[in-house]
Amino acid sequence: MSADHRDGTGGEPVLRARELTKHFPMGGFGRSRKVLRAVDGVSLEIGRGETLGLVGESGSGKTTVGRTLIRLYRPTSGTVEFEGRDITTGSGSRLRHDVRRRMSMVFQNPSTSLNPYLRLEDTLTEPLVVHGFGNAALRRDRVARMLEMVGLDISMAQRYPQELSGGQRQRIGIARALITDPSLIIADEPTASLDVSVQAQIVNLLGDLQRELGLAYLFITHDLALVRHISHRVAVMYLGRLMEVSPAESLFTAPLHPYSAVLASMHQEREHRIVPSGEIPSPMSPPSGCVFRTRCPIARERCAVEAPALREAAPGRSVACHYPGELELDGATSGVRPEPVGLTFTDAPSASAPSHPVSAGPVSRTSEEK
Amino acid sequence: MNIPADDILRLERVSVRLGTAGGTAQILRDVSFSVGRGEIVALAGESGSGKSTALLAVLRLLAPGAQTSGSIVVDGQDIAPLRGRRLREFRARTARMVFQDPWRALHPMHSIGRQLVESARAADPSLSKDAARDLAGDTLARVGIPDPGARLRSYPHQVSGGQLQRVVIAMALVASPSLLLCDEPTTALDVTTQAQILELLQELNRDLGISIVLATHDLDVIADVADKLVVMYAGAVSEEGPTEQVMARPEHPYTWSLLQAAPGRQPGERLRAIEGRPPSPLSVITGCPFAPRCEHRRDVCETAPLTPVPVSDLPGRRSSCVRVTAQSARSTERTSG
Repeated sequence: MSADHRDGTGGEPVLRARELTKHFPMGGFGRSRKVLRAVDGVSLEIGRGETLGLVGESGSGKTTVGRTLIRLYRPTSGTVEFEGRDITTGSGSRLRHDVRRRMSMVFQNPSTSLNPYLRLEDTLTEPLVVHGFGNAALRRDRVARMLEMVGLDISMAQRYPQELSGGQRQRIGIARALITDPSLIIADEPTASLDVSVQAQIVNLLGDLQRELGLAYLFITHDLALVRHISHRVAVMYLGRLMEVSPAESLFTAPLHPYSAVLASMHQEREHRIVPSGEIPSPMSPPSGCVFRTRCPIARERCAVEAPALREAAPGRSVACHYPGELELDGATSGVRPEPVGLTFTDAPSASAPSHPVSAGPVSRTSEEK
Repeated sequence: MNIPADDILRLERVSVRLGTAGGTAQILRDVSFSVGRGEIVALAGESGSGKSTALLAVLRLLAPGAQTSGSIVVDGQDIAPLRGRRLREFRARTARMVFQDPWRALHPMHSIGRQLVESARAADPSLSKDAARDLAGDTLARVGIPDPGARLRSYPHQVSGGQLQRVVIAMALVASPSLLLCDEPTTALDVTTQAQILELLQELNRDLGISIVLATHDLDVIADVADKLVVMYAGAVSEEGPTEQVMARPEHPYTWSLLQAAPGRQPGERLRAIEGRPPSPLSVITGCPFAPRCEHRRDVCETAPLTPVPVSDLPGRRSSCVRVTAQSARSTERTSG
């Protein structure tokens, strides 16, 4: 997550999905059978130590992608390859061995994703038991190390989830994900239920852990400022399909897909915002051709007939649009909020000079309870 | 700055305490701010800062057992003595609330039309059912709902989130209130829908002159919507002033830290997190409530008063940080003494 890291790392990707599709049957028989196309032909790769941001509105299928990649769902079609193994169809002990140990998930709401009846120590030990890790003493050591790693005191192990604040609970959620030594973490809106100041603590923690352990993240979020901050590359989803995959910076400064332009413009001054008309159509009956065309400011006849495939438009960038780059951002600003002026303290001796507070030190991973 | 007669809403040293199993919770501490006629004012703060409580207090919708002190004046009327029919009239006509979650703000078993008609006739009982239905249709069209006639017959579950929030806003508008209170009106919505709803609120403010109070935790949301920004922390006002000025040049360390903690400036760099977390409402706070987390705290902060005072040379700005306002506080002392 440091600046030199941001282009992602080369080499073999840790995860590769090809033409991933997940349909959910929605009742009905024969001809009236209804199908919800939650994910439709999504292909993506995540490199080792890379953060891939996955953004989209609710109903775009981003959560389903995450859950299908980690095989909480079985894909309708397409393949998922993880650490060189095809994990598309495995189940039982095979799935546990190939997937569950090396890929883990951090959920959105730490209050509902922790068992309220288990002490945190037991919550953290459970994955180790499932994977047959060491003996009781080794497991206890491992739990202690994890707590330290996520910035919690060892005494927390004896507590129950409801005794913790939201931020502390999410640290436990992260510790649980880390305890089996994964190479990829799927984080589904991990900070959405947290306040800004606590969100910053968790985001920093995720960054530190990535640097330390070489973790890859699939970071699923609807928060554009956050995804821009945290991701090396960003994949934009709309109605079950990928619209664009680009390095974070280029996506927000020079988007290729009109939908990316819409999203990027949300952080511009008001008059430069591109607000699309209408709302996201139902995934039960997506529009013909390009799924975004019903709200696209530059849609033409061709868009209704021919669905654009995701293809490489520039080195490292792919886009699914017949007219990539046509809808441009017209704001002069790059959408980055200007730095506020530092505080001036009237009681300080150097009252006239604006003093910038010192930042919180290099790596302070103190828990919220100091 | 504001001439009192011009204020649609004025809170003066409002405190709210609530008895809980764990002791007495102090939810609002000496909150004062005002909303001018036709103004959009944002209450910004994290969860537990008291922004929602402040809105609920204005409508007298606090939980039974809550003790409120201080004065709240809406449209020239002190709301504390309101009882029974007059309180209902006040809630139906003068001030209306738009809640965060449109799915929970509407009755799932009643048609949208029925709920709008009920809302309109609560505000104006002389309205006939047909007239109320016409008004409901017009209002739905006004808030940008396509085919309002058909929508009146729909039920909430048949309508998308963004449309539903428009319905909730319409439900408030049929009463033609002078004050609209919005509690996180866009938090449950997607980013593109968010922009649409904010645009709608601004349009209503401009065209109908309706005054709006927005409670939000997202500073980006209100950055270019609100005229005035009131930043709250731990139930007290940290600072207030014209939105642009506060965002560009905060006069309280909490606001500064909050702006710094949000992602959006230097991609890839560490965020400047605020260590620690807000104090529990059950704890007794002396001095500045932000002091334990503040990088700039001094001994003086332990005994600092809660109420924001004007920042010298900056009209309309108030801050509760004694280190920022030390000078002006001293000068006001001198003038009043």
